[in-house]
Amino acid sequence: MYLTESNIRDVVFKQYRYKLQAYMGVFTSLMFIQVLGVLFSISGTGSMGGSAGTFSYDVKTYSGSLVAIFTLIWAFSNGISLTTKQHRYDDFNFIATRQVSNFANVLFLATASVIAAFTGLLTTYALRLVVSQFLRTPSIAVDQLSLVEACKGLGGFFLYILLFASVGYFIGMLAQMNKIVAFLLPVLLIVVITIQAYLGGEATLIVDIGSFYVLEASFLLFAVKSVITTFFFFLLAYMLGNRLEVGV
Amino acid sequence: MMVAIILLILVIAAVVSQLSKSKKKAWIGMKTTRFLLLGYVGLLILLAGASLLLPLNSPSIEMMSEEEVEKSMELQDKVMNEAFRGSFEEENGLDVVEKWNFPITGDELGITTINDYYVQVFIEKSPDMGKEIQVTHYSGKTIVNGMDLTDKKGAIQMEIQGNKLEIKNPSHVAVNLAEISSGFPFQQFSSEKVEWFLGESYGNIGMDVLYIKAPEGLKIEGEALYVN
Repeated sequence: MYLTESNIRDVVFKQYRYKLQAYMGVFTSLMFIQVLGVLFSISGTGSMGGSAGTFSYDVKTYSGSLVAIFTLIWAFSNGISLTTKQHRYDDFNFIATRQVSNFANVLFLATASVIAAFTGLLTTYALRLVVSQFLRTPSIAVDQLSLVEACKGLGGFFLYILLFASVGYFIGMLAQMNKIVAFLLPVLLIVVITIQAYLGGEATLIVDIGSFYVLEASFLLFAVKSVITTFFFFLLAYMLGNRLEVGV
Repeated sequence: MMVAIILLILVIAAVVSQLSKSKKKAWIGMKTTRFLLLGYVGLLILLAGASLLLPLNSPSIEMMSEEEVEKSMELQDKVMNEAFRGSFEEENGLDVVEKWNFPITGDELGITTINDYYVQVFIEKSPDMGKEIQVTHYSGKTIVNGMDLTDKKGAIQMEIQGNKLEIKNPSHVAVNLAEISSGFPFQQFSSEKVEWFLGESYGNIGMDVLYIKAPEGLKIEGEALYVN
């Protein structure tokens, strides 16, 4: 029996609010990464050309994909950085359990993902403006997204970002458990890809995994796939986190 | 390529981890960061609004569906294959760019191309033609990534000098275009085809064909194939 009793939800929200203020740096990196993505994209993400006789064409592609990929890497890195000792020690400012800390982290990553998805969508319009109005190149918009399609795209991008953040969070937690894992995971990935390339002639592991999500045209099915995967990674990270010793 | 991608990921990860340090080591204060973020979002909203309001600097280019592209390619192949087998129909489905009628003064006609320009010429001797020849310029569709660029091509110039038909090359045309797409997360659930990072691209420059209908007795010299 205590004079002041607090429930888990209150503590989670307190810690979540604290993280939002304390970890504002993640948004500095988000801005940096997205601006970098736009700058890279301005020079074109692809080009093709051809000629026959007296006719030639040169088509440059400007796509928001690069900004999206940079944002996903940002999310992945953020997931990892939240599991570092430095960040975990910040949680000791509050009387909290690992469970509380994990929930607050998930909430924080979800909020950061919403902001990143929103700014990511806006950068595609900014890129369109720069290419068509400032570079003055005759432009063709390959896709004219309707409001519904833009909303679905925004939702999908949010789920992608959260998925990458959850993978990063899981790997970060795994690396905290055992430092060798941090070294072994990329090595394992490269070995698997190399073996696959050696046996099958083509290294398609990452493409195959990506296709499971990227080629899903139904938003509902994609949402189910990504939510389940994200939940799975957060759950694994939570279970690993509970096994961390104090001070590790 | 793979090494470059891994390097890029590592650089981004390093930048993110440096910039994302918690408040104790943050190189920009919390208030400044919040101000920057609000400014960034505000600027992006303004740019997005301007992008939607301002018209795209877009040339008049018709977009073709994948099915239409496939059909037009098949049509060009079919017409050319049949023509090389000796059969050419006037109503074959290819675009008619221009038609000329030239009077003939003698019994002979030489066909010459200027500036080493090469164009496929098919000749049909027809009893319906009197003292003139009829030249029709057909063109297959020029399609790049679904964009119909056929009418961007220059026109063939044709002149008759005595008993010589001179085919002059079209003026040089260079088409520069920018193709803007939202990127994979936004295209994925739209009616547009789902594409990986760069997507597949294709281009087909339509073949130019000259079909000459000439009177039966006319002797023709030059690089051409007889049909029908």
